[in-house]
Amino acid sequence: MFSRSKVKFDLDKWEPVLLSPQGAVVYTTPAFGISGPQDLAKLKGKSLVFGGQSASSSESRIIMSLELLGLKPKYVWGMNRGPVRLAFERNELNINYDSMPGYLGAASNLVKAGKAVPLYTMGITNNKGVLVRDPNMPNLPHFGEAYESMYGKKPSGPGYDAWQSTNKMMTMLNKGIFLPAGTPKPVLKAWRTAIANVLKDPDFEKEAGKIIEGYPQFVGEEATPIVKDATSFKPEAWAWLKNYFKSQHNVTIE
Amino acid sequence: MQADLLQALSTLLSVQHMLYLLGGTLLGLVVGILPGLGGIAALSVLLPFVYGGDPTLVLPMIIGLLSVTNTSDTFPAVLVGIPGTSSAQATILDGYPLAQRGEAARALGAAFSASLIGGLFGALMLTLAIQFARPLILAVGFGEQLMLVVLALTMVGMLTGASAIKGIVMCGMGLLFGSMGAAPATAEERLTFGLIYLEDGVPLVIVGLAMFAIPEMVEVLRKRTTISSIPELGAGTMQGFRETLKHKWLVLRSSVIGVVIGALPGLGGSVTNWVAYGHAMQTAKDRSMFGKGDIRGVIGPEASNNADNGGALIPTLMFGIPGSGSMALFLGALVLIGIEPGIGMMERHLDLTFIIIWSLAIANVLGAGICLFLAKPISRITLVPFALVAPFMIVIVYFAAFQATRAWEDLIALFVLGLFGMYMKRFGWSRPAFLIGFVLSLRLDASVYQSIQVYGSSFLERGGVQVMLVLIVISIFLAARMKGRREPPPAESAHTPANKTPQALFLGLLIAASLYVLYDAWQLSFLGKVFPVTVALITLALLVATVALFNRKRPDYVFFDSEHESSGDNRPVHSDLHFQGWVLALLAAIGLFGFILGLFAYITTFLRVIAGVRWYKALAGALGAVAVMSTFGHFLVLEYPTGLLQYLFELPWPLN
Repeated sequence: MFSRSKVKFDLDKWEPVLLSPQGAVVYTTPAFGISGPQDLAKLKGKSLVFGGQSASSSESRIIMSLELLGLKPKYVWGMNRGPVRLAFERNELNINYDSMPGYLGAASNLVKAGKAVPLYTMGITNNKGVLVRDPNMPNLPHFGEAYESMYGKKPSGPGYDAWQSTNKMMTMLNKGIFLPAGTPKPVLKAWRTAIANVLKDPDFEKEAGKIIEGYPQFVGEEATPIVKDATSFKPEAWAWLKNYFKSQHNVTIE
Repeated sequence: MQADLLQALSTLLSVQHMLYLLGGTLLGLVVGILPGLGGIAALSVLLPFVYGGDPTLVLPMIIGLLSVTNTSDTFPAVLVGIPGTSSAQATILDGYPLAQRGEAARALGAAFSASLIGGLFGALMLTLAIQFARPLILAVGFGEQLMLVVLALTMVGMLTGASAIKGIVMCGMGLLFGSMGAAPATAEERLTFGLIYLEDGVPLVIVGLAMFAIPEMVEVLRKRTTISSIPELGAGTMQGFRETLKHKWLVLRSSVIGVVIGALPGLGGSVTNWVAYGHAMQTAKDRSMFGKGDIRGVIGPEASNNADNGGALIPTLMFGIPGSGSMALFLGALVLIGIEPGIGMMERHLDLTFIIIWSLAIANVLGAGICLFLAKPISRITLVPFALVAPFMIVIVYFAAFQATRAWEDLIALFVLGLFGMYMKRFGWSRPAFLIGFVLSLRLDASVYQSIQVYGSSFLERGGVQVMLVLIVISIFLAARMKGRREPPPAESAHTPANKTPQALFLGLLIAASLYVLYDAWQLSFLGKVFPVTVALITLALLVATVALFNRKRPDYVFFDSEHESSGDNRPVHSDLHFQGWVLALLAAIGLFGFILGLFAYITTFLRVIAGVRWYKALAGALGAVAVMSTFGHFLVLEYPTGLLQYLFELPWPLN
């Protein structure tokens, strides 16, 4: 997505069939005297450690949100989700995130055991293009609200724009079915109708509830504006992102 | 808890469940015997078929498969000196010499009984671990993981060859080779030469086949000897069984090693068996027979590599963290049948957890029983001239290598590394050390960086780290003392400093390779280069020391050239280049005609020219291989490499 030279396709030229979003939750340890999202500001200046795969991978939306909140964790790269969660349990890492299935499956047990405190979700974009709370955790603020509670104003500026595009890419385009550019219209229509019918099928709904977790599904043209948004950065936002990766993570994006 | 345990057993004991378990076990036994095909390959073949299946049926089948590959892989290890899977490498050191003395039945009897006890011990420990593992695993932080890797490397490096310094150098070379691909900290590319194939490094299965299968096959082919000259194997099986019982404490200690190392993420069965071998050697009073056919060198690794499964399941089931490649696939299978590993396995799915444990125990009994029962008929393979088996085995090796990423580069990498492996073997550079270094490279790289990133240098102050440090020092001290106390090598042996040029050239190649790594890494950012540069510098220092030792005039363990071993009438008819050519020939045949036609031409020619069988028999043999490979490919939807012929013309199945 960050114009890596090895990736040779134009996502925004593809024909979307289905977009299936998947959210994520950021959580920390209660060790810093934090009992909920309202204590977020207490994390400022604490020595936080975050583990993940790499700065420019799907974790970028998480680390950019931390940056925008003014939190400066030490980053430990080259770790998969499983080892990260374990290291979090060992207290070697103290701020972490999980995708919604990961959170509901494993990390929520840490929360129940009093070993983790959820802070905010990545939210999702509704069909008007507005960031709203994750339907799986309606009681937890999304990143925009978290920012507001910390700074008393809504987030804005190139950094926030960059986060929004990145987040759309990672959250809203988390799973998708696309057909190549130039697919004949009847073929495209058949795919889209088929998917729409599957989504309407009551049997599918019964089975899929656990997997798509109540996220809105975007079929065909509904998905186009989201894809367009996620793949096009404003020039200032791109400049911010480029500078952020270079100065904070020594990663060069083109 | 006990009620659940018994409930799971009664579920499993129904006919249908037992059939699935038996089916998995038989498949596991077969792939264990086939060199290069291990639990990983078999499980990846099986995965598409388990999707959405009943967990109480699928789990016994998968566990059955995984539990016994480490039992049956002993057959090729002992009988032909080729590991059936990477977990049987240490077994070769003493198992193969025993077979060459005609004591294969004894070695196998000891191996299978040790496997059985190790496997049952693993299942028992898994049961106990369910109550206690969580706090234990949580105590092993970044620093402890780092120390554990260093411990494994020093032990393996110092113990697996005649020369400790050459062993450590090979650990270093393995680490450097394993650093190929994206750096864990910065995702920068290292040593990829701009090739997409090398971006993830060379697949493990290829390194394993190249280091072990190819050099061994070429060597056996060159010597043109059958493995055992004694047709009657006697009643050694029971003797082997009794010897396992005699060394019961070694079996128990090795099983503990297997469970512990298996439970630690990153260190799988391919490490366990070497550590257990090192342990068996370190704790023995008389070590003179090790490497020449000491039964303890078979018992230790075999007990440990079966116990390994029980240990490896602990982090996999509890935290969803696979301890090895096959466990990673097992984890994938769990997801496919709709089970989320983790604390749920102790709560919601406790019944399935117990089914897994019982399957593990029963599969080990079944596997060892079948192997003991079949040990004699299978041992007869030793009487078949190797030249008859060799072309088929070379084909299987290429086949297995191609399943790694299904790219032509797999085959080329196999050949190039195979050549390297042959010269490592010839000049006495430890191949196990190279393989372990390779396997642990990413892990070591990541844990050095992670420990320092999280703790700075204060990670050395952690209690667990200090315990491990003491263990490392003790291990190095014991190994050094052991090496120092040896008799100097005899004047007329492979350790003689005569005609040093070939081995000096190979040494020069290693130095050049290390220098290239330094050059390549120099352009990276600090976090990307700190690991390869450090390892390359240490390796270079040791290589320079080796060069200094090379000036010695008297026989020394640092010298080794297996060409000096055979003299006069003993000399092989063909040079090693001759059989390198034969290994390359299959690559060329596939390149021209594609896999199926290529193997047909190759096997026919090989059987006629090398084995000297009649044309029609050679053709029949090759046709048989074509039939097996075609059916196999058709039903399992495998892809085979295509050649120039397929590129130019459209061909019907199975030739396409």
